[in-house]
Amino acid sequence: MIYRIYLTNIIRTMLLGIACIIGAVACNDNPVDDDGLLITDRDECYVSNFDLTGTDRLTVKVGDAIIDNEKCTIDITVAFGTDLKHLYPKFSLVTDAKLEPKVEGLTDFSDLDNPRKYTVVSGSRRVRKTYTIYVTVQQPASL
Amino acid sequence: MKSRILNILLIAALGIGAAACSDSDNDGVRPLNNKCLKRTLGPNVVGNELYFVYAMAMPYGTGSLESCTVEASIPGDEGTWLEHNSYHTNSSGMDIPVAVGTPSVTDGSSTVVKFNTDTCAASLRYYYKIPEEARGKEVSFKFTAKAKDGQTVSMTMGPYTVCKQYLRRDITLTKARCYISLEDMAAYTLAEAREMPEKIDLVYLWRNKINQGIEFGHTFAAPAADRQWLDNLEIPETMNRDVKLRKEWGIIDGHLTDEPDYGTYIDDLDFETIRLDGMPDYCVNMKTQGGMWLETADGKYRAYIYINSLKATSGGVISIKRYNMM
Repeated sequence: MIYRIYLTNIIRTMLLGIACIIGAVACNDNPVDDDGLLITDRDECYVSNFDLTGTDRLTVKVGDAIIDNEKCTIDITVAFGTDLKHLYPKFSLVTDAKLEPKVEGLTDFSDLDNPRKYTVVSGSRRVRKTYTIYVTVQQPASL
Repeated sequence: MKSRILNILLIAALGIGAAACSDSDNDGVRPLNNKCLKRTLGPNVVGNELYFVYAMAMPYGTGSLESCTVEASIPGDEGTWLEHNSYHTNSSGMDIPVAVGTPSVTDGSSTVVKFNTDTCAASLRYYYKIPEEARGKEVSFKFTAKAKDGQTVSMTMGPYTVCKQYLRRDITLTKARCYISLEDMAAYTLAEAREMPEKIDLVYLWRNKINQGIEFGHTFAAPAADRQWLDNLEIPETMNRDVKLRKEWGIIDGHLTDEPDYGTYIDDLDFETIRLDGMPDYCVNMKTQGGMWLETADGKYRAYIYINSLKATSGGVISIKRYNMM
């Protein structure tokens, strides 16, 4: 008799747990995108900071990058001697936004005639802005 | 209720049984015992030491130690020895040596200390200088303690794989001594380099270009690099080797620096897996504690150069780890 009551309690607890999980999933109103990132209500879409680092992970920029969020351009000057073929771009984006394509390692910025473009996608995924990155290499002044 | 009590009794019985079956040291006193500890960290590089502490003991009043022997599977280089001091730690945390034997004698692969004090316990330190013969091979050690009543006890440590890499510390660079050979892992003057242009893989130069608005500073470049990276440094025509260079920061190899407590080491595997395809043949504006990976254009060598120090003007000290790819 004691065993029967004990077993019944276990089954009840399990059913309650399953019901809670199903309920939690059903109540989820914060969907995620293909990258597993949260899709939110935010439509803001801009770059707040940008940097380039070398293979040593130290910055190569000289001065601040100039970010124009209306024209969607980023102008950055890098130090003399920078290896443009092997740079890590570092973006700071507005909350919940994401970047396409993803930065997945060293990136080649050496084709100055065809500057690299990155698209910022808002947290709501409704607004997309494509930024062009113009890199200038610092040159020695002639004396 | 009854079954719960039975379960508790069963668990208690199992626990008591397990404890009773234990063959721990408590069930009897062993006559002569030993333990060994390898103190050296990181890859085992030729020219460096492997450092062990070997402890041996027998119960007080049951006898005393006669000798301690270490046998290496490959004879150690000159500088291999077994310390004849045992140590204890004083109240300030200092290791205090106490001489317990005669200085060690090494004969081939065997190093022996004979005890000359009446002691039943000692911890001796063993330093094995890794010989060239061991490069790329495995080496192991047999530690043996012998008591005066004839008892012996042994334990084997290893095998330990000895790296294939080469190591050279503290190479001084100056304005004149700036032609670097990976083959020799040395820096040469122009006059010396002219005699062996085929060995020069890299040149070092320092230039102050602040008045031109740029930082050139301490720069390393291949002899075959574009002239703008060599900035009027004299490069003989026959000196034309090229390298790929990858600038690094924060790789502070414990073998290449005297900085304390760096547990980072470049191992053979790092050389085998690093990818330097498409890297440039120059690195400008290098800093102290920075470094660079290298690969010669012919693929013969890969290396890592660590910058130990750089002066405010021309000159500095570098250390090199090199790996032969062929």
